[in-house]
Amino acid sequence: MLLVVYHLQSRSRPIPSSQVAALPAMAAAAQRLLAASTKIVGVGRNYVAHAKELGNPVPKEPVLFLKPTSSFLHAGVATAAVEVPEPLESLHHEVELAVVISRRARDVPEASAMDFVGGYALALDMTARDLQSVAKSTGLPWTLAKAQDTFTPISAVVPKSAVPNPDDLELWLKVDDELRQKGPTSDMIFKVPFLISYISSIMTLMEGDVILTGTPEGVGPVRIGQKIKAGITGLIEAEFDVQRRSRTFSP
Amino acid sequence: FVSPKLRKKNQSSTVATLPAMAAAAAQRLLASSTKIVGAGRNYISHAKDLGNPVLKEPVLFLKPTSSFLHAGPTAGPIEVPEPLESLHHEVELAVVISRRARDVPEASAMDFVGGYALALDMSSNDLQSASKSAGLPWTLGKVQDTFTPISAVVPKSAIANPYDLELWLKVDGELRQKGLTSDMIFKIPFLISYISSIMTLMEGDVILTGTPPDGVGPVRVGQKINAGITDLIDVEFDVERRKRSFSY
Repeated sequence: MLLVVYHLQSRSRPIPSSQVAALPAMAAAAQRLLAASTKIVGVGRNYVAHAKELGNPVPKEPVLFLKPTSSFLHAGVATAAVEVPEPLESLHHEVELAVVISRRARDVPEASAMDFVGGYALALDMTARDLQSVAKSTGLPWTLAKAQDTFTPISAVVPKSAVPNPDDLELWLKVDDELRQKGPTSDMIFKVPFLISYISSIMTLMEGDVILTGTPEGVGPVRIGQKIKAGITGLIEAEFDVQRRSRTFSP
Repeated sequence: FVSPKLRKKNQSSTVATLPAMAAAAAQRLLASSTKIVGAGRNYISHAKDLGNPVLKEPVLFLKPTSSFLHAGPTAGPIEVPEPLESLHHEVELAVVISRRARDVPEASAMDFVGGYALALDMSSNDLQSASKSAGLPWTLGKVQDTFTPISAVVPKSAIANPYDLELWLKVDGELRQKGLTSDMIFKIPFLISYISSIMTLMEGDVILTGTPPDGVGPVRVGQKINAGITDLIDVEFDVERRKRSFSY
């Protein structure tokens, strides 16, 4: 069972998690999409204010990076926990609209791109900011900063039909109930159809693949022991604890 | 068990003569792959001075499974996207993980190896240089479709010592790369242990263990690559211009 507050735009009240099983078949189908995911494609610097807050130039083309599916942390009944690896004391939170691809997409024109969207989710692109800074200054990949287990917390998938306009959503994130990030997806520099077209011209997108479409300003550290709540206003929200990662080898 | 002296032009027919169960199981592993993890700068160079500092830890980068190009009689070509005229070839020993691996100690790491393959880490040097100097991810230079040509998987039992192998690569019949896996800097157990301490490795995940740096160079549209592990695997790939095709 998923702990999800799920609000179809045609309803006036959120649907309690106990009724998730009674949701239309398309909601279940949207969930199954994520299970088929083969990759996560992150889009960096896709909100102007966020690019500026990190001192980065505003890009002419999307900045893409990969996160592995092993980094997914699915929101659930028991609060899922983001794991901070030693010797780090914190990670940066980045609240994002995630787009879930519905079927194989290659060289998709912008005009057809929305046909390849299966659903949306609320995701966090957790980032070890110091490690990322070191990687940037030494010309190295962003792997250590972005790809670790639990670095992609993600909510249940909302079917595309529940979101008439992905450019008209509000993302928010709180740490220990203090608002840290809040921004409209209308501030996205490269919009969803362009991203699908651009990315699919570089690599084939598969059913279930996730595009993280960028984060608004307000990124900052969340420390071990704190709690993240985040969501898309009126649509979905999710909650994650932040804990120290303990290493466990189980053969 | 098949004599290592056996040579065949088509690597898929060499694999077919291995014990059937082991070979088929090894092949199925690759079908469940969830990611490709590359280890950069992981070979000793015998050239004078390439200018790269000695690493304390492996440099890890990700390639998506959409970049696989499987060798075989019906294999398509390596595709060079416009406006590039060439790609750089890097011949590598690929390790295929047999089961979920997380925080694996070096001493147990080889228990998580299901098989090996010959892979090419195709890269666009131009795109990669631009990324590095801007502090950006290596993505565009490494992740495109067909940028990870890979042979059939050889079961672990067929390779007694992975550090006693010779990797080679030719372009249009001219030898370009030849190196010994004994020159690998971070060995396989360390790589599995290190990588699995950062991200869980799944069954079928592939680790590209690096390339002998001397001889890495460009291959152009219209040329042909032959590569292999001496006495074990042979592969062949054409290099062609990528044609963009939108198909529902």
